Amino acid sequence: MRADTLDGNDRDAQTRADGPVALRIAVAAKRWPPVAGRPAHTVLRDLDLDITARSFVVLSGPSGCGKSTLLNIVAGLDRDYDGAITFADPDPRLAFIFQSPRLLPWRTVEDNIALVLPDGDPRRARIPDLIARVGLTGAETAYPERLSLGMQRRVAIARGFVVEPTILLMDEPFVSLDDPTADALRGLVLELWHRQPTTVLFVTHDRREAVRLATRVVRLGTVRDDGGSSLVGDTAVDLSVAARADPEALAAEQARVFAGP
Amino acid sequence: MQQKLDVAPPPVAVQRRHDGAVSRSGARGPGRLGWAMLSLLALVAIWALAAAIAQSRHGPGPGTVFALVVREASSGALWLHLGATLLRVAAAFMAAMAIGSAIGLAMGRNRTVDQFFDAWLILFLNLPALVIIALSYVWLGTYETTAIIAVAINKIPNVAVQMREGARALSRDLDEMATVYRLGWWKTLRHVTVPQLAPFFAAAARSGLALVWKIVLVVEALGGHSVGVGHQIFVAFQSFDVPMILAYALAFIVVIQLVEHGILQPMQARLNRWKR
Repeated sequence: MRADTLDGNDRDAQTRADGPVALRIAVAAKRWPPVAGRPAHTVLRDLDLDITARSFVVLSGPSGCGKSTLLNIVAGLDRDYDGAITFADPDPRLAFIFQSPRLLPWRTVEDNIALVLPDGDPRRARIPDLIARVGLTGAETAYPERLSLGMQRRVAIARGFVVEPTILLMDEPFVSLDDPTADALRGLVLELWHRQPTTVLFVTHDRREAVRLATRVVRLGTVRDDGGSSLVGDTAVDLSVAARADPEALAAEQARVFAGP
Repeated sequence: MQQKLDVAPPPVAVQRRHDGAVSRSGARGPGRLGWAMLSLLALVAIWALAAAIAQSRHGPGPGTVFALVVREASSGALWLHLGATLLRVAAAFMAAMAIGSAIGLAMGRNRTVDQFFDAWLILFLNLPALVIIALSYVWLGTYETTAIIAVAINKIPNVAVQMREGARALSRDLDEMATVYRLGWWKTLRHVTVPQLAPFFAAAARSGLALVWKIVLVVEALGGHSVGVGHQIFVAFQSFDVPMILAYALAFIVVIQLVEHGILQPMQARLNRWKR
């Protein structure tokens, strides 16, 4: 399978024809040990993906299909799997925007953002600008627990972008927000990504969100009886910025991307 | 002074309450400090009343005891004994906090360590203070360090239990965040781990101080030390000198309350300032 993808001749050739590979995912198997009565089972099997640099790849699939597990494997948080994750950059900078904001409640907004950079790092000079861009001006010295969930998520987004990551991982970062708030944050992430292009791996089970954001949607699902998710779809999304804000265009694209099984 | 205090408590209490009512200007109550003062003055009043009724050499009134405190303070004896005891409290307290925290964290982070040493912890938690004190003096001899070690051993299991809870409650989510963003061990410790443990440490410190100073007095009495509040109380006890016992107890309570309200509580408030 790997050899095929390197030829660039298979179905999703167009999604990576426009750039070098930033990240190669090759997970032969990821198993969970038996826990609390649940028998051991395989979540991921034979999953091979090449991720083009500066693409916005959305990993989509039903809950429990192993999307988040895959993200943790890429992040290096889960090392108990068969396979390999290979970065083109020998020293990749990772950022992870988690499902919950995971801010330090005892540090202020600006300290939470600055903390992920070494002292005296030149990137720290960008913090005020980034805070303004994510709409947190005036909240710099607030403690996270005094902010709404939407505002906390903005802090987490700023923290993710401030490191200028080579790979930016996002795990359903807009769940449990009301629709307008979530959509405003989607717009914000796209805007930041256009300004500061980076390779994004974004996990969601929301199909509409997937086509709203992605340049490529990778669908995970069960393909074998013995369990374990693998690739069930891999489609490029080519929408203009205007089309991404247009509900009808999004609905049409969603139907195209998620057609089939 | 003695005379004045013997008679004065009830009017003073009334006057205080009145003062409180004026100064609060519309607030709902006399305030936390106001209530504390009020209840303490009520206690002194009851004490004075009980002493007046009993008319016993073994039940001195507040005036007698306060006068004795003043006399001991002006002779210098109070400061000598108070100082010696406070040094022992400080040394035993710090040793117990440091060692207990290390043990608690190791047990909280490592399941094997926890399972193996849990039985030891329970044993030491239930070992009577008197047994530890007696054996310490038999085995180590009557030295200054023996007193400190004996007190610390009494306190270490409590600190370990509380810090173990803190280590168990450490957030895996924040740990993962620190790993992905490569904070490094020092930044992780300082900004992620220590702030999570701080409330447990503060709780251990506050309950620790209360336990340590009570045990220090017993150790001083049993260890035959020539200075210390415990020694003074023991000497007074041998001659049933109740005013003296109460005078030293009172002086020490005041000092410990000052430490509690002047150092530990403000420290805890500062640690919690980020909370909603």
